[in-house]
This record gives sequence, C-alpha cells and structure tokens, in this order.
Amino acid sequence: MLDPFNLPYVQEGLIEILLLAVAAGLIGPWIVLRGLSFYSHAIGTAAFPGLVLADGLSFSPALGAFGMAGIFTGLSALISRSRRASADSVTALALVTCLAAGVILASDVFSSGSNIDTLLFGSLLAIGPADLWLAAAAAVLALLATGLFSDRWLAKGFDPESASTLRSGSRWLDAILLAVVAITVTASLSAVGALLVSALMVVPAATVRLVARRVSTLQAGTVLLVAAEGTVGLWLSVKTDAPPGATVAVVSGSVFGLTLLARVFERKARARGYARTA
Amino acid sequence: MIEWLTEPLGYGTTLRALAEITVLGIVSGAIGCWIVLYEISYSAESLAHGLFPGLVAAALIGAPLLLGGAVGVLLAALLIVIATRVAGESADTAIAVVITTLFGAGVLLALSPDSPPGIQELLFGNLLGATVTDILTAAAAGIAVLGVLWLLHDRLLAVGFDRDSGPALGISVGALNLILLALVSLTILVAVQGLGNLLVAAILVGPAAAARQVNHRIVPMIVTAAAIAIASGVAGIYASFYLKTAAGASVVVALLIFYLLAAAYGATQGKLTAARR
Amino acid sequence: MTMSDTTSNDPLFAEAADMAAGYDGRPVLTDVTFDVKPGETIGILGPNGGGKTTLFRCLLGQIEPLIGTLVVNATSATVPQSDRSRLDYPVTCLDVATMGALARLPWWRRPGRADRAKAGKALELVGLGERSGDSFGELSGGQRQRALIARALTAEAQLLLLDEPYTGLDTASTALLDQLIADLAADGRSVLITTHDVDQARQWDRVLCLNGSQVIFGEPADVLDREVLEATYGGQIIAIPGEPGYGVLPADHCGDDHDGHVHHGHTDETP
Repeated sequence: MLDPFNLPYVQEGLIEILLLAVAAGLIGPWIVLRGLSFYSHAIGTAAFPGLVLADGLSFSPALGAFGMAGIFTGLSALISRSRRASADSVTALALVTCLAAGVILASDVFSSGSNIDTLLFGSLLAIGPADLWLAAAAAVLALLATGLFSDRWLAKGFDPESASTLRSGSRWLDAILLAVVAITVTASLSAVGALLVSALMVVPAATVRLVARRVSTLQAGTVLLVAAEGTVGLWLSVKTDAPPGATVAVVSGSVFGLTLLARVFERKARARGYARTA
Repeated sequence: MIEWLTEPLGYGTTLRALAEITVLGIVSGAIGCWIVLYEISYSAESLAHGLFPGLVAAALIGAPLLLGGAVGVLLAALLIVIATRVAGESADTAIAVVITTLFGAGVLLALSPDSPPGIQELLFGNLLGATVTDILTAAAAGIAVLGVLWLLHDRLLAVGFDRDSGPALGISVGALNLILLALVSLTILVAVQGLGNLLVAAILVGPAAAARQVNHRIVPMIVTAAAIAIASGVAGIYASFYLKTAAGASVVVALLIFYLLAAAYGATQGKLTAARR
Repeated sequence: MTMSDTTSNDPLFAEAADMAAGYDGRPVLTDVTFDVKPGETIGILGPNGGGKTTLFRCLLGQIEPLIGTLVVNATSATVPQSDRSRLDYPVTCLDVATMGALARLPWWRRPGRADRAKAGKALELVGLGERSGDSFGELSGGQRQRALIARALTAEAQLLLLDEPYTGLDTASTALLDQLIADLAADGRSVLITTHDVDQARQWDRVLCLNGSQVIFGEPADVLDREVLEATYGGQIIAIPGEPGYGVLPADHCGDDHDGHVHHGHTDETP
C-alpha cells in the first residue's frame, strides 16, 4: 500500500507537500481570518497565463507567476481605490481574461495544449528542484512573517477601501501579508495548479477554525492538517492517476464536511445535555 | 474587404456560432446588468465553477449536460448556504471551500481514465461546436429569462437602489434575490456550452460593467450591454476564424478590449459622483 | 395648521402604549408611549443607537414589539438618508419617485403611465418638477431627500418617517425642507423627523425623546428643558448663551462627558 512512496518523484512530491504544509499551514489561517480567500484564489488564477508564457518561452515559471501576481495585486489596489462601483465585476472580468489569455497562449501560440491540465490542476511529475527550493523559501518566509507579525495582523481588520486613511505603518503590515500570501500561493502552483490553490490555502484552515479557538492552535493545527491531507492526496493521486490538486481538494473538502457534521452533532448533544440537567 | 467579412459566413459552424453568441449576448447583457448592480459578480462566477462536476457527471453517464448542470448548480448553492449558516464562515470562505471541493471532484471525474476526453470543452466551451439544438435551447431559456426580467424590472430597480425600502413597497427582498440567482443560474447553464464554465463569467459581467461606464439609465445600459456582448462575440468568432485561436477565449479577450475602451471613455467623461454636493 | 384644528374624531395614525422593541428577544427601546395625530409633525431626538431606527422599523411593520402595543392606521414610508454609494445608480429622479407606486400594485403588475404621472405630480409637489429627467446622482443632497419624499408620496403614504433629512443640507435647502414638511402636514399627512438639532425640533408640533427608553413625549415648549435634554443626551449638552439656550453636540462628536465616562447611548441597534 505504501509502495507509491518508493518512487523517487513521489518522494519529491512528498517533500514538496510537507514544505508547503508549513507555508500554507501558517499563512492559511490569516487568509481565513482576514477574508483573503478570494484574493488567494485570484493570485493563483492570474498566474496561469504567466505559467503558460514561462513554459512556452522557457523561463522560470515562478517568475511568470510572480510577474502576474504583482500585476494583479497592483491593479486590484488601483481598482479598489477608485471606488467607482463594480470593483468586484472588474476583478472577475480580469481573472477570466487571464484564463482566456492562458488558453490562447497555450493552445494557439505555443501549442502546448496538453500542459493546460497540468498548469491548472497541478502535477507530481512537474515537481523539480526549483519548485522544492521555492517551497522551502516560502516555508521559511512564512515562519518569519508569522513570528514577527502575528499579533499585529490579528489586531487590525483589513479593509482596502480605508487604506488611504490608515497610518503608513499599518498599510505596510497589510502589504506584507498580501505579499506573503502571494508568495505562498505561487509556491504551491506546481503541486496543485492554478485553479485549486484554495485546497491547501483555505480549506484546511477553515476546517481547523471550526474547532480551534486561539491563533496558535489554529496555526499548528492547520500545518498538521495540510501535511496529512496533502500526503493522503498525494497517495490517492498516484493510485488513481489523477492530478494532485484535485485529489487534495476532494480530501480537504471531505474533511471539512465531516468536521462540520461532527460539530453540529456535538452541539446538539450538548444542548440536549443542558436540557436534561435544567 | 467584403470578402473578409463574408468568407467565414460560408461555413455552417461559423453561422451557428454567431447565432449562439447572439442569443447568449442578448440574455447575458440584460441579466449582467443586474449582476453588476446587485454586486453579485463573485457569486455568479462561483456558481459557474460550482456546476462543473454536474456537467462532468452528466457527460460520463450520457445524460443531457443541461440536466447535469442544473443539478450541479443547485447542489453548489445548497452547499454554500449550509456552509455559511452552519459553519458561521464568512460568505467568502464558505464559497471558496465549497467551490474548490466541487471543482476538484469534477476534475477527478473528468480526468479519470474511463471518462470521455473533452474536459477542456467543458472548461473553456465549444462555441464552434454549437448545434441547432443548443441554439434553440439557449433561445428558449433566454426568452424565459428576459420575460421574468421584464416583469420584475421595476422591482429589481427599486430593491437594488434601496434594499431597505423593499418591504414598504410590498417586495420580498429575499424572494427577489432568490429569483435573480435562479435566472443567473439558468443563463450560466446555457452559456456554458459556448464558453465553458471557466470563461462564462466574462460574458455575464464584462458587457454590463462596460455599459455602466457609458450609460446612466438602466434601459440604455441593458441595450448597450447586449450590443457589446454581441459585438464581442462576433469579433471573437472572426478572430478565431482568421487567427485560428480558440473561439470562446477569443470572445473573452474581445470583451476585455471593449471594457477597457468603455472604461477609458467613462474616465474622460469625468466622474458623475464629483458633481455638485 | 395647528393641532387644535383637527377634530378629536379623526383616527390616530399611530399609537404606542408601553411598547418595547428590539432584536433577538433583547429590547433596545423601552417604555414607548406616544400617538400620532393626522397632519402632525413630530421631532424625534436622541443619540445614535438610542432606538430611533428601531422605532421606525416598528412603525413600518418590519418588526413586532416585544412588549406593549403599537397600532398603526396609516400607510407609512421611510425616507432614509440618501446613501452616498448609490449616487451612480442608473436611475432618474422620476424613476425614484415612480418606485413608490410599487407599494400599491400587485406583484405581477408594473407601474404604468398613470403611475408615472402620479410620480411626476409628487415631484412637482416637492419642488423637483423640472428635474424629473435628471440622474438621481446629479441632484444635490437636499434635492435627493425631496426625491425620496416624492417616492413616499407616490406610495400614498400618510405617515412619513424622515431619518435625519437635514444632515449635510445648507441653509437654503434646510428652509425648503422645513416648508415642505409644513406643507405635507397641512395636507393631512403626518411627518416624523429624526434630528440632532434641538432648536429645529422646537418648530414642530410635538417631540419624542429617546435614549434606549423614552424620556419624554409632548409639545416642545412644555417638555424640552435642560433636564430632559440631559437625560436624552447624557452629559453632551453645552449651554449656548441666549434664548432658549441649549445646544446639543451630535453624538458622533462626543467623547467623554464631564465625569470622564464615555457616553455610548444604549445597546447597538443591529439590523
């Protein structure tokens, strides 16, 4: 049963997942606590054409992804500041256009059509040394950032529209958080693909949040959960020949659902207990 | 010059694609205006992603895609409501959890060895593969959607303008929002054939967002949105014909170009909100 | 028109007796006893969070009182503060006024020509006849208020609830609004106006002071003394020399009162 893990590329995938577990496990809680789910998904999606370009022109995919992430974050800041209504519709349009551009580049410009699935949903076979280094860097960055800024991130709410009224110190805090999220998302692209980063970044953190009260337990729990779900997803991916992004998504979603059910039953049981003793 | 315009029209695929995108354009332009005014673009896009496993399942068992999509969208909506209510998650996170999981499940089904190839069609659409049945189905759904929008026009306008005034005006805001979401879902279901569920949000949101930059009254805005949608569709199909690019994706790029033009125009007009205070 | 002109046989538009109301079973407004006669203007004073919005909700029928009774015998409509974010909504002045017609139509009917004509008349009544084709966002603050009043008139509301309509209005617009309110009352409608301006409240028929619970209800000349105002606003009264002598600091601008306690009013009115 454990023989997938004898394969070298699976071992690399495992190392990647564990490194990502540190990064996503530490940063995921902040994504959930500060309402950045859409942002993290958007970074992943926007990266897609960058990845296609990098693939077609043979430069580092991380660079392609970072470039797009930077463009997207910059444009979002511009759009939300202008306060002209329909900011959300413009963002939605921009993201979909990124996907369309990626498709055109992949199918018609570079004719790398078969890679679209890999780029969108991840692939274990795609993990190379560069990806591992990136994941390691993201893990270290996540450790540093949460170590330094956890308290301050918790203390303030995040409202891009009021950014201009904040002291510049707090604006830097937000910028750092957004940047760390973007880097972590980029690091996870090779493993889970552009469309399913939330499977690592959001779903496990949301699951642990159902049961954890304090930020420290939330973070520790999420790291462990991402590691566990990632490993199981990896194993499933090899067994079923499906992309790892998809298997991790289904695993993490199922765990969320079960945890939710468990919490509902626990609450009902407790309520009944109170009723009986009352 | 004329040849350039008429040559693609000699092909049945082009004609059918044009017919399909025209129908979609009219409906999307209309309902897109309400999506933008009610600020539910994110919900619309999420619904589109959420119905993906339904489509795949339908393709796997040979059922009509429309049926699979309908089940998928209902399931997605239901799960989102549950996650939001029960988990106490903010809507953002709840939607992310549900959609990611559903999407992952769809991919698993689609890429498993025994599934028919063509996941990319479901993701990115097959506009050039539109059949007459597709066009007629889209037209039927379109008429239904437009009919309801016409009937509810004033109430949609009133509640979008001032939600709290709904009860005093005899309108159930909850019911109205539900009907709007149902209409959006129906539009997504038929538009998915042409654009795929990753790209469909563009035609729902893009033309309306562009029209809003240009028009300041609701009816002209709807008309402009439909016009922009159709124009983008035609431009995209012609681009696809001559540049050999994917049709659906080309339409989306055309939509973006139109949006940028409209936004530039809107910016030069000066902001309406800077008027006398 | 003064109250003595109305005969005592005219039914009251609204009457509350020992009413309390709130959300999720928790009252945010208690001990409310007042009545509204036809053709009457009533000023509502009180700090933010003191229960004014809750009272309006009760009068509109959106929430039921928790304790006591509230009887409303008139169609009521609220005129909210015109939200700044709705300034680029694609509606004309006439569109907004016509929205009121929906109150009197079954769900399957759309406003027709007759309804639009009625809306047009309402706009003329509030002095916006010439601006009916303009975008709502192009109107000034005072004009937007009046357009929203026209919406209430098209709905044939007899009881109008104006939520801080004077906020941000200049002197000229304020005078126009004063006159409009007086005209509406003269026509037999009743108008309830929330305000933070005590002097303004003195011009109306009666005042109702709310601060989580009802402080007083009666004619301004009789009831608006320093004691009442202090009970309503806490230590946020400043004495302005001259007659009658009391200015009130708007609640938002207040921090500590003289005792060093920060005055918050009562529990938050969450919708």
